[in-house]
Amino acid sequence: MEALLRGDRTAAREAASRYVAATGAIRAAVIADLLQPAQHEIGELWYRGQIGVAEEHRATAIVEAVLEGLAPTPSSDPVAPGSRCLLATVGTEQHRLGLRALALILEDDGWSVDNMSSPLPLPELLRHARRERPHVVCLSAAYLPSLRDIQLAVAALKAERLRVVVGGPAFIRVPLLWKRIGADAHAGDGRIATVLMRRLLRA
Amino acid sequence: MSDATRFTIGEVAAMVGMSAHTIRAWERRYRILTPQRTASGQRRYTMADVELLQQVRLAVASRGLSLKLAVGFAQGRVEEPLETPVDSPDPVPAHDVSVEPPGLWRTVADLLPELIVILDERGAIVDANIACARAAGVLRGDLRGTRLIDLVDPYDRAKAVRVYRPRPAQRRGWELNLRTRMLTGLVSFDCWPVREGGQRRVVMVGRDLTARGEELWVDQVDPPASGGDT
Repeated sequence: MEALLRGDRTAAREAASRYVAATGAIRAAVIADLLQPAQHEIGELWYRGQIGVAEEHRATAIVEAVLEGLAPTPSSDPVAPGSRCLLATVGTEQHRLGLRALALILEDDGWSVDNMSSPLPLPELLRHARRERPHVVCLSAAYLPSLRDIQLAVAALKAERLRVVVGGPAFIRVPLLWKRIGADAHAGDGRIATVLMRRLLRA
Repeated sequence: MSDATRFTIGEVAAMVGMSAHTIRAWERRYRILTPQRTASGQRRYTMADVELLQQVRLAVASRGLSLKLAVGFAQGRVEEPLETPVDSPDPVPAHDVSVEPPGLWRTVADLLPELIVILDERGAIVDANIACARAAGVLRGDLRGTRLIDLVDPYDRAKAVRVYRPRPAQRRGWELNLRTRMLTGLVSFDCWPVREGGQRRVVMVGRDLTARGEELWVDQVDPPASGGDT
């Protein structure tokens, strides 16, 4: 955390490496137990006005670098080959880090992951989803302004009989919101997502 | 996923990043969860159970709380222990518990089912009620001079010491595992610092949590691993 706020990329990487060496943690655990809490704390500091937007972006960039530097830890019990999922944000949602982390966790779990690199307008998302017919669609919202778009997207995807999992800080801040917008499930972190998505595969 | 969705212990373990073994141990020792059981005895958890486990894990990791306290916080049944400020000129709280005269307090205290014990500031027992002596399996007189930590499970000694060190402190819901000849189980103590003739004392009033929920303490036998509930 200190390294993140100082902007010290090397120290942050080393801290993550030490954590992996000490705990033997899989990638999903490093993300859920180390990076996600750190990122949450950074967001809180920004909300409280204790750090500026530049520091927040710098810290986030370092979290991203640490994330990308984690070695894959494939599951010994992966999902069935050919299990496919689509990860996306819609509308103006710019926060991508959560979905990137989720993509890595799901790849470890054996999924074939289609992660959209930038937010899609709703019609594009629908066209893509119709063509690809993923087993699960994961949508993420970091803050509440994205919710209107998410709600429309969930309704449209459900009308196509696709299964939708939602996640991200917006849903953590407002419990049960995921139900109100009609999603099939809410995952508070990537580890939870893997279990819920396995369930949806079997459903 | 509806509210009716239930998860196996294997799924819960994957969701919170703990081993199934640890989850079962926490259930046994700290009664953190009481999952439903299927007809064949396998555990079934709700999403609320998963969230509770996560909170406890986080509280232990980030705040350095003891597991038992973390469980209490997460379940909303423990308040932050009240520390008596160290520089307080008079540590005796408003609701003073008089320990004088000894005859009267004993008459009253002996009628109560709670375990009542008075310690000096080094943690030795000055006096105790009959319920306490019965729990310890000794005569009341033999309890005098015994140290509190000798009645407590070794695992909980560090926590027991905090009742009187660095000085007698007010604490609520201070749970200690007792291990005496007659009683092995969890007791929740409320503690108040008092003065007796210029001496610092601490009065502890304990409720035996074991007596209320005896079935929870039966060490449940897990179904065989072949049952898939691993």
